Amino acid sequence: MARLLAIVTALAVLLGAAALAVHALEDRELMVPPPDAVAEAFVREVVTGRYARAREYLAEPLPDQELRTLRQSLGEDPTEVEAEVVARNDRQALANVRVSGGQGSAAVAFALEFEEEWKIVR
Amino acid sequence: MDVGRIAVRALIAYAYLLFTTRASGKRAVSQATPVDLIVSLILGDVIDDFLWAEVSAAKFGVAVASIVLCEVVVKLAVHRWPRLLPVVQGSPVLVLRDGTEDGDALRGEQMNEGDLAHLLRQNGIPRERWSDVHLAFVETDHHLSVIRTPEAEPARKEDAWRVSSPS
Repeated sequence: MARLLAIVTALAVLLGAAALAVHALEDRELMVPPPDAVAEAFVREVVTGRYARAREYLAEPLPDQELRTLRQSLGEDPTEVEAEVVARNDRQALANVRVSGGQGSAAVAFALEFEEEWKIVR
Repeated sequence: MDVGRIAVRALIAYAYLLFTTRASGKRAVSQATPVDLIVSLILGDVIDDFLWAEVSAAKFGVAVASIVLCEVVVKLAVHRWPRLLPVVQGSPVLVLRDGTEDGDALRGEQMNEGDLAHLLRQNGIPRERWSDVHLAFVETDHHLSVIRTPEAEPARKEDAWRVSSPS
């Protein structure tokens, strides 16, 4: 029973530290994924056709059809996905994602907002 | 990505994993069962996601705690109800009796005679001395336990006394 309690306590401490860092100390990239990681992960899910997982990165869910269109615009079988933050403040960020593959490369920009964690708004 | 933040995340993940895995109970790596190995692999994958900021600290913490809690609950259940042990960890398998290997048992463990010979050599028993083995079990951690025949057991202090004393 002491072991169970120790694990639950460790989890509570970690969650408390994360909440403190995000809400009181306004952490935006240590305890939560930074905007470029969110944009990159979203594109990785889209180009691999995992639309349900891709939607988790969106503030407002998009239908499969729109995600499929985005996938086609990014090209087939990309080999590299790389994101960088173009501009940001504590509540909003703009990230650029470059997708490269055998057919060339494409770039797409995303606007993100912070609400508990970074989410893509458009 | 900022290397300083990667280092801080690594430190947090290390401290958290150290505490939670210590709380789950001590077990030497050489005694690890297949389930222990799977748990280690899962935790290794989870820490990778947190290190590169693909998941938040909260998600990382919940994932690790859930896996480790499952393991602790299973261990406690096995301790409370020993009948669960064969279900959770499997049972030792008798593969050699009085110098003769059990082909079916070896097949069940996906071993051949060469594997058995290898494990027996590690116990100091070459092929020509298999008759010295009364029983040999493949344990759940895939180590071989050997019980020698009384004649093949090393001499003990009492044996010397038996030889020297008149009967």
